[in-house]
Amino acid sequence: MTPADLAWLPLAPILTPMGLGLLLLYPWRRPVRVGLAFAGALLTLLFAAGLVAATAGGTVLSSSLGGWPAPFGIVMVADRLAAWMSLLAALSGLLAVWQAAADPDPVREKHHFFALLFFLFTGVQMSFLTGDLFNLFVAFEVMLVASYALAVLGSTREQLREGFRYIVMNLVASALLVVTCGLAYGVLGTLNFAHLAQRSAELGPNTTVTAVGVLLLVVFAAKGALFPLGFWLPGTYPALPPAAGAFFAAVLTKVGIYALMRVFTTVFPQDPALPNTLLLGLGAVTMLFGAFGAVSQREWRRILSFTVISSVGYLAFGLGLGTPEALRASVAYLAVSVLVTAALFAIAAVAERAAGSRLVRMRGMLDFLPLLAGCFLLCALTVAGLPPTGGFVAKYALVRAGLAQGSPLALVAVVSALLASLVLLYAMLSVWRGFFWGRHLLTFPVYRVPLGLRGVAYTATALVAGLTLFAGPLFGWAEATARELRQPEGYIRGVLGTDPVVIPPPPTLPEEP
Amino acid sequence: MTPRPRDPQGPAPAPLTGDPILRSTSRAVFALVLLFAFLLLWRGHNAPGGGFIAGLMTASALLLHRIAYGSSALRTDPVRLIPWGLALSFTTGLVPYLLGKPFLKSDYGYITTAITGEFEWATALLFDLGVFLIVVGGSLTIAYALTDVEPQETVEGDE
Repeated sequence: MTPADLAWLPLAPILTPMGLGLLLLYPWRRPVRVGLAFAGALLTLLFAAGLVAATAGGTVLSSSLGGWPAPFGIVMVADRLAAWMSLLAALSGLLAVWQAAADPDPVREKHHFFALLFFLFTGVQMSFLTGDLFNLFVAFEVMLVASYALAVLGSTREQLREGFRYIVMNLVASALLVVTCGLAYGVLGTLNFAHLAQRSAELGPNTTVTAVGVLLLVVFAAKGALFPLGFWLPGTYPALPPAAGAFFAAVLTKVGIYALMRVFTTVFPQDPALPNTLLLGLGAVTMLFGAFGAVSQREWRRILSFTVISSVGYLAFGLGLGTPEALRASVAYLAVSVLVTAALFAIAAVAERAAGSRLVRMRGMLDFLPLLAGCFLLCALTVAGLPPTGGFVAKYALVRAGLAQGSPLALVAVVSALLASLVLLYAMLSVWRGFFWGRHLLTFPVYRVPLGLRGVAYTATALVAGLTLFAGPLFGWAEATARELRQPEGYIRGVLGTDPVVIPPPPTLPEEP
Repeated sequence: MTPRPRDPQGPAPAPLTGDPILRSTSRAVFALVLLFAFLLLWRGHNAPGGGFIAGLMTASALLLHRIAYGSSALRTDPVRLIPWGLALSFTTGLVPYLLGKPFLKSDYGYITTAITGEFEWATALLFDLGVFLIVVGGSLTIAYALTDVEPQETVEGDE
């Protein structure tokens, strides 16, 4: 199969959730709705897996909308990184749908919870697969509009208060993104990633291009919740209904990280000094901020939200190191972080349901939920980065890359990474001590949790364990992805072809008779 | 979302409702604005115009009607237009995709009739129509929601 035969494929994971989301707007009965949602999530997963298989050999698939060719029309592009992110998002999406199906919520579902979830999937998939800076903004908006609606759906007091912060923060970041798109177009005359990469390579290191890059960094840092811009996250995610919260936590911050990776490896790799310094510094602070935040909290999902922030810090650190090994470790850590977050939020949903409270201090739940305790232990060790987990492998690779890079700032960041891991371990152990360990007080009732809901937690943990077992192939894939990202030529050739782009002359006006 | 049951007196009428000058001029202006909106929609796939701007103009015409008469000229809840418009646009894009052409690819051709002469039709017009419905539905929903605000509403958890 040539790339031209598969040109339809990058659109499939976007169109499937979009079409299913539209179908879900119709007021079906609940079993039909759940069936449709499962079918949609599975199909998306299937197409995303197809993308991973198709790009595994280094092919770059490109699919133009409306048949307009690359630098002029909008294209959807799948290379290894995009396909990989698409797969991870589809997997978390399936888990979220499962969780929502196992946990009926008549009020929210009446107001199109499932449809909104699918529009959210659409936006996320489009952010990963787009090959155009302005279209990236559109994808962000699709994703954010759906997430705003999900954030306030149900209108509890907490949701409205936290949702407001979330909306304001993201609106400001989006406005800045549009402005930056305008600047990029003004400087380079194009918004297509491949064409931007080509033109910025022709320009060489250029202060204006770097300035545009730094503006993009600020925008994506806000989306990805890097330190000073991530204050909205720990309040927003716990306020969401559990299924939506799990997907938000697992994937939405990673969209920002993906955009950072795309922009600073494929598009603007010429002048990495300033963005890398910023990413390293912010990443080092973010991990510590997340780790200490996790220690300071008493509620399940608040603690976990802070661990999400911390994982974003690790990713920014890996990206900021700028060496091939660090990039490889970041790509691997990305997968670990998405899956472990999805698993931990699923575990938290079960735990909150069983204890009938959001608080961690319940004591002695080990007797009632032994398997869940096992799952939590594995995920906790993964988050803290201890052996024998995939988290250890990925963090070890990150730290080694940091030591190998060896600049003073990198060493400071390495120290901060190790310290943050320790603090995270303490936070996770205090959850373990508070919730699972000790003697259960008879005054607290223990509720039954439906098997479906527990099944999500077990499956997600099994996936995390799978990452540990298949760390070798995972790192092989990450290695290939990092290599591809270091050489944007392949991406450019896949999108624009081998011929140089010719801008046609402006059309001459017909002569007035 | 279903509309809230209105309170029996209804929301306070706009201050200009019932103004005879506004009523008589708004009738003509309403028709003119709608005509222009449809012209923009019609030529939008090939010339300046399109579903978005036509939808905005239609929405403003309907708002003018609402201000002048105090009631909506639409017989349905505008929210209902949004999914239908979205479905129409999406399907227009999906058909060529399922036929193995690029997503959103537009087909077009020419029809010559005695009255209009040669004119170009394009499936992009259906896409534009979908956008039109979304914009009319969306902007009217927002505008009507703003005119119906009841400041005494409470949410779960309020004391």
